[in-house]
Amino acid sequence: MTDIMTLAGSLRLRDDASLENLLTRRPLSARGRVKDFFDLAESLLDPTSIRAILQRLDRHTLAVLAAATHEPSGAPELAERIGTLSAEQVTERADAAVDLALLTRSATGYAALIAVSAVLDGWPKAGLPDLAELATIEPPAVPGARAGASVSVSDPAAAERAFSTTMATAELIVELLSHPARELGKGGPALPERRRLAHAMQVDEPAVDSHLDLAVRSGLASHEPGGWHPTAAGEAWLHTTTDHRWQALAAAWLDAIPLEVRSVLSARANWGDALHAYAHWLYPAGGDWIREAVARVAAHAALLGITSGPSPSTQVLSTAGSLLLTGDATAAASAMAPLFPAHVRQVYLQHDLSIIAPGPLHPELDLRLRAFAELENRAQAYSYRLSPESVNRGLSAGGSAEDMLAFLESISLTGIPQPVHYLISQAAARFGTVRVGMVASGSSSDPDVRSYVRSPDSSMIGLLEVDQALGPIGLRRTGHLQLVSRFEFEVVFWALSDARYPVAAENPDGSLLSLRRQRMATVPIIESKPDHAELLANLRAAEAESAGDSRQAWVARQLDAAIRAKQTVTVTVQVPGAGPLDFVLEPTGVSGGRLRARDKRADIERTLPLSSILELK
Amino acid sequence: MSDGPLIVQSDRTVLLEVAHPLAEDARHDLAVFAELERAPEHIHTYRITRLGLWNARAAGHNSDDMLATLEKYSKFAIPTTVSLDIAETVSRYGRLIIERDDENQLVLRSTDEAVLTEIAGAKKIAPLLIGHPTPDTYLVDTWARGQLKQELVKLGWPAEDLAGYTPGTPHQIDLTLEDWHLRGYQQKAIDNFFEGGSGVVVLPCGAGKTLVGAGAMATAKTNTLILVTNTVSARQWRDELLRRTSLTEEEIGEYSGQVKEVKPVTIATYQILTAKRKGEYAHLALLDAMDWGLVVYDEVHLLPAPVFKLTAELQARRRLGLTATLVREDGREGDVFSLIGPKRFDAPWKEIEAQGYISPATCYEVRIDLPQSERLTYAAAADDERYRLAATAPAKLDVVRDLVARHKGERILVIGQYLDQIDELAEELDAPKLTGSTPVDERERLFQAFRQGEITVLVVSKVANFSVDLPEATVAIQVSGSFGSRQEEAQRLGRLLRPKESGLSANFYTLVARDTVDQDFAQNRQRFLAEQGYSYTILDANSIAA
Repeated sequence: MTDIMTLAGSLRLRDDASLENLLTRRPLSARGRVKDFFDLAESLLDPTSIRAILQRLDRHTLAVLAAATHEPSGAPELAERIGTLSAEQVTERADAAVDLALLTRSATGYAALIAVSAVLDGWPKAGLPDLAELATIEPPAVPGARAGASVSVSDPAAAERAFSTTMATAELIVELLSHPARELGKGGPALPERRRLAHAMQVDEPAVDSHLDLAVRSGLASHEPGGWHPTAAGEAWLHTTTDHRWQALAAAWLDAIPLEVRSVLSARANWGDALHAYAHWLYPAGGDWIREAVARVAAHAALLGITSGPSPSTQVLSTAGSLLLTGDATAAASAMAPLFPAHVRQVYLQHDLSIIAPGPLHPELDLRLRAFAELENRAQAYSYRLSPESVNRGLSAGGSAEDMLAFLESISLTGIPQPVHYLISQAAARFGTVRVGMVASGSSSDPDVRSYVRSPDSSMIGLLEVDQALGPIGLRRTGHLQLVSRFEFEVVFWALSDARYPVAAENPDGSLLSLRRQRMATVPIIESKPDHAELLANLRAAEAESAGDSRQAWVARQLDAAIRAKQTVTVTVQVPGAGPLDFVLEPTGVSGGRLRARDKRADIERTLPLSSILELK
Repeated sequence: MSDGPLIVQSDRTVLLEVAHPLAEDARHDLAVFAELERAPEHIHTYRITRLGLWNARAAGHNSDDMLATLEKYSKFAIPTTVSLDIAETVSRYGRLIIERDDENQLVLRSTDEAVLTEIAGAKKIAPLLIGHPTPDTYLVDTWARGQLKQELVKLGWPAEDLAGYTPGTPHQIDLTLEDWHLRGYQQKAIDNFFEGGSGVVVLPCGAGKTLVGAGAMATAKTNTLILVTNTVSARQWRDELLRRTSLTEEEIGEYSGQVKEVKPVTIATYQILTAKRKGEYAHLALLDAMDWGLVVYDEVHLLPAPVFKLTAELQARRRLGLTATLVREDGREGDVFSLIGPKRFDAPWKEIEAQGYISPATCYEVRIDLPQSERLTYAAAADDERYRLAATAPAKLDVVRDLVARHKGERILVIGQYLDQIDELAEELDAPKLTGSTPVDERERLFQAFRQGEITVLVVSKVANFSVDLPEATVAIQVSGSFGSRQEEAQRLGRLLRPKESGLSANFYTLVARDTVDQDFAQNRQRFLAEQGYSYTILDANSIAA
């Protein structure tokens, strides 16, 4: 019987969970063409599909496959052939290979599908190991234990990196909250976005991608068509302390690692080149996939302080990193926390309008302060600066001078310097003297008018009317205390703000409107997984369609496969009066409910009604 | 690591919490290798730069000392990138040495053959090397000593210059210490300078840099060339030397646009030294006119670029740079380091002020509401007109009058940028004016009258911003003038920082037209002054009148 028939037969007997697992592990290249289990089997037996899954198998599983290529064998025989695995270990791996549709399991033992054997037979020519090499080559020798003395150096270095990455990611989310990042058609953030994010994060421009990747994998941002947006989880994450922020990132890092790579990581304390060598040994067919996967994971691990070392090729696991790989992210965060600069709750306010927190400001205070002060520099300490623009932003968002001053008073170690008090009081006293709003469509006689500017002070309206700096927004007087513009009210607002007018944006009901650009991702999509439910439903439906005469339909599909493969099959036929008889036939066609085939033994062509065929072997 | 006053950051800045009990000790130790960048009242910012580290190395400190300082006073763990960088950078200084061999030839020597090979292959250095007598030395062209040092600094391999100096023709110079004495820090600056060879002394305006120069001359006792920024400054140097040293008028010459005298002590302006005739420097002969044993560069942060080139050829003579700041707006701090020499002494402004040697200044920004008519004119004006309209707003005149009345009896400088505004102010205040077109003699006469109290209000243009000593000015009112540069602002404030015999504290007012470009400049000014540690208050004009 052909591979296709064998495999299709076993696939249709599997439950949905098993099929889901198979489809997840072995993605189909031509999913749309799969209409029934025969199509599915054919797709899984495609050499490209087989090579793809072999890339992701460790060398022990590959050894089991290679040992089972030529005849069905039981686990003890396979273990004997391999020499380095016990029968139990063989059973475990062979069952996994059956689940992956690479081996078949029968009463006589495990046997590789012919297509799988064909691929494995070609390995030595392609420079890949044969059975003997798979079974006997030892892993590259690397020191596995962490040297105790180096922990005192590597752990602080790891923490430094972890702190810097965590804070840079926080700035990334803050920036995305103020303005989502646009994506180029060819992928990656657009250049101005990259610069903006890099500046805010205080990283080099190329490093933006890895932080975006980290944020998306952690669910803090979402990558949607057209760009990156913060998620609600991302905003909530900003309210947590540094160690909790790190824990979330590190746990997400671990969760995102493919199982195969995780096994490589946990086996080695020394990373870098040694890790790559070990990964190559463990996944001999891994090629670019394992190289890139290990490199990406290792790069993120170094960013997060899970490993540290002077260069990418000499990384070792940090204490927190070791704990994380055991699956205990909380313990890992506890190990990391004392090495981070402690949060502070008080700041220095200075005459130059700077605000210095002598350490990372506690997140709740930091977010409150940012509402009306710009973060100017961020390293081990944080420095902010007040400006007329930043205070106006706070006022637009609904803050008041009293709130701001009371908040500053509560966190300041040095009181409130006069220039700070003057700045906030003056800004608040004048804020909103000029109001900008949207003109609803159809509410003006001039259809081009989109926004209005109003002020209770007619001299202010007079100033706005003649101000050369406002020329580009084309303000036009329509009343004693009102001007209009054909530009959107946001454009008018920012033009007035830039020209130092005490402007506020308002809603139609006169309430204040904060114009800080902010858009949240509607659905926090962490990773899109293919949905197999539809395919499975189709497969089952195709099977059900022929439920009335399922045996006949099944026979027809098997014959069809044999015709395409030009294969000889044993057909059991119910002959009236003679009972079941076996014919060895090479099918050539099916039409009008009849099979045409060449009888090899009799050397004649036979025509048999499909209804009389009991079974194909 | 301790709960100390320093926060060492990965961007190479170091924050100092001034109120911390250990702040003074930390500041003292940190200033050895880090440059003070900002000094507002509570948190000072220092920066660790390559030049700062090499300056410290030149003064005999090693990286272990520097890291120990950081460890001792740091609140958090020192970022590993910073400690590695310090160790690496410091180790670069001194691996190359410029010295003389047994035959008195100039050689570049290194025990690190790899470094020597690397730099000898550099495109701009190879032509300066004229022989390779031994594996660890290269012969250097005599004229190339300065240029070689410049190029080595650019490559990140600063050379230690041990080639010595020509002693110069001896000339007896003594300090006349009957009624005065050098302050402690001035003597320390002189001692450090002689110990190190050549180099720069950093002292704030009013802290007596001229006296450090005089002290150095009295120690060297040799023919001395003094280079200064302008003629008025040259005459102040001359007067000060006559008063503080045994030098007589016959021994001091002025070499400027007006006078060309070459005497054992010659004071020349940068301007005359860089003046060209038919495309050639016309007064280069001055540099070799006498056998100078000491060259003093006043206001070294203003040293014009061509003088660097000339200085490159003066490396055999001992050089003393004097300045209030090592920061150069053209970014040529590296040239000062390689051609004048490393920093030999640095005193923070506020520290000297605290010792009572310079008077504290209080800074005020006065916001003036323009009347509606002026506001309309301003709004209707094009961008390029707006600055002038804001700067010369007539509304400022009333405020100047109020301030002058408020400080009646004090010596007041009114500073403006536009000549017609200066004319108007002088007329309104009935005060003499001093502009670029005022002849030097007249300028000196007015300054002298101001010093002696015969004139109490002087209206000046930008020209008064350069190093002119007006110790009795206690009030400066800046009516107009962009925030042109940090140096300009430092000079302006310098007018008020000189020691006050009257005991009055100094006040610096800046008048700002509200909601105009004036306010942008004011924002920068506020930042600069507050960063220098001065208190800064913003007032509304109507509160002055009241």
